[in-house]
Amino acid sequence: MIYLDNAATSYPKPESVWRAADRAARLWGGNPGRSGHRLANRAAQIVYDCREAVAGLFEASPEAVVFTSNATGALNLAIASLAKPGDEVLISNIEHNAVLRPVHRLTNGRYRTFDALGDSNTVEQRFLAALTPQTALVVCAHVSNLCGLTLPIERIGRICYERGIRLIVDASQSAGHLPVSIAATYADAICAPGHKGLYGLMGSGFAVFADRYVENARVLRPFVCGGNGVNSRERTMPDFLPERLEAGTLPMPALAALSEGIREVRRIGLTTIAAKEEACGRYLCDAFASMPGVSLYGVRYGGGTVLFSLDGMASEEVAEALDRSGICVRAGLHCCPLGHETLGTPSDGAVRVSVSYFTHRRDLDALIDAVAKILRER
Amino acid sequence: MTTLCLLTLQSVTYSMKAQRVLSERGVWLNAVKLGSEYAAKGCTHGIRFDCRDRRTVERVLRENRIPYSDIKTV
Repeated sequence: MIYLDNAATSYPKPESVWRAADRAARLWGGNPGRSGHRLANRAAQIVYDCREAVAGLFEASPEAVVFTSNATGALNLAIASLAKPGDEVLISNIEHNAVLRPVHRLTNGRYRTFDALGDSNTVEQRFLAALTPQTALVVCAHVSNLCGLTLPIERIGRICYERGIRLIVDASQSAGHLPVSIAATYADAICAPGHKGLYGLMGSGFAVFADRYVENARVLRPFVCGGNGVNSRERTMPDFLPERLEAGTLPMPALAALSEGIREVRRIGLTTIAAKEEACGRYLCDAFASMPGVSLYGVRYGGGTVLFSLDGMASEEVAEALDRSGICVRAGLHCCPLGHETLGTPSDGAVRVSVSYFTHRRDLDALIDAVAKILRER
Repeated sequence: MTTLCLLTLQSVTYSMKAQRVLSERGVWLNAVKLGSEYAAKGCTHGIRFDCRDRRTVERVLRENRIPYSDIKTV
């Protein structure tokens, strides 16, 4: 089996990640922060270790790390806690539904978009042109989930900071692939899943907030309310992070796994990871570009995610044929209809191949051969 | 005979942070869960330590921006 769907979730995980989750669940399976016994305390340490690991990666404080089940949960939480009623919101035209849908609901469909296609200078100019004096919140991806398109998020962040505009960054496809930090982006919050580029397990995600929210968490509106082992007599959520925005039992074994995944990413190094994935993407694009009947989308942006379609074939049909050859890819709209419209793919979407640092050249050769076979036999 | 001191922290997160930064400075401590008798708002967490380390504990907690309550002897 050849797995090339890492933008959906990374697979397989490093062996140390499975072991960390297994050990945490088997040996220290108490509920972190609820009871006072040794199992609960050890579980609480594991959770805090993960806060430190995430904080280190994004240059933030551990208490500014709020855990969620996934990036969608983190984005919904960040948007709900930072947005105010009536805010004018700006997003890019390649946003995933995890950004588009909560923003659509918040603004009753009255959000603005800026064009993210182009080089950094062009996108920066388009972003500036899309701002109005009323723009209060910007939510945008660092890297597209459809292709290697990378937004100039540090430039966008600086502009937002200078104008007093809140910024939420969706780092779902950049965490573990490219450097991204609170300091460099001036973001109010950066959201990411634990189970993609950071090699953690599904069921983990987080929103990292800027340090000023540690000092003044009261300005953040709680998104989920419930028990968290703190100030239990109070009817309202605590007025400090992270507990103001966390309720319910945290996925401790998944967070143990995430800590280990981050350790692996640091061991390999982001520069090495990015270079490997870029090389894989370029190899694939060069091969597909020479094959009649293959259309590529967003190829000029590089990266390890390649989007293509085969003339005269539905994308799901292509994905099913590849699955029969033992190759796992994702077809359709990838929860990103806005991005597909922007990139000009067919109405049924396209096929997405997404590599990881652990993808081998032979995997890509097998994919290329399989696509050639589909084209011959269609 | 060792006299123990107890201080209350905002949450388990701060309790774990305190444990981390104080252990790095060689301070012995126990992280404990505390009930209503220590916190009017209900459940919270704290640390128990040797009162001879009181000045070090207070300084390290302040340096690391960890809010804490008045220190009691137990």
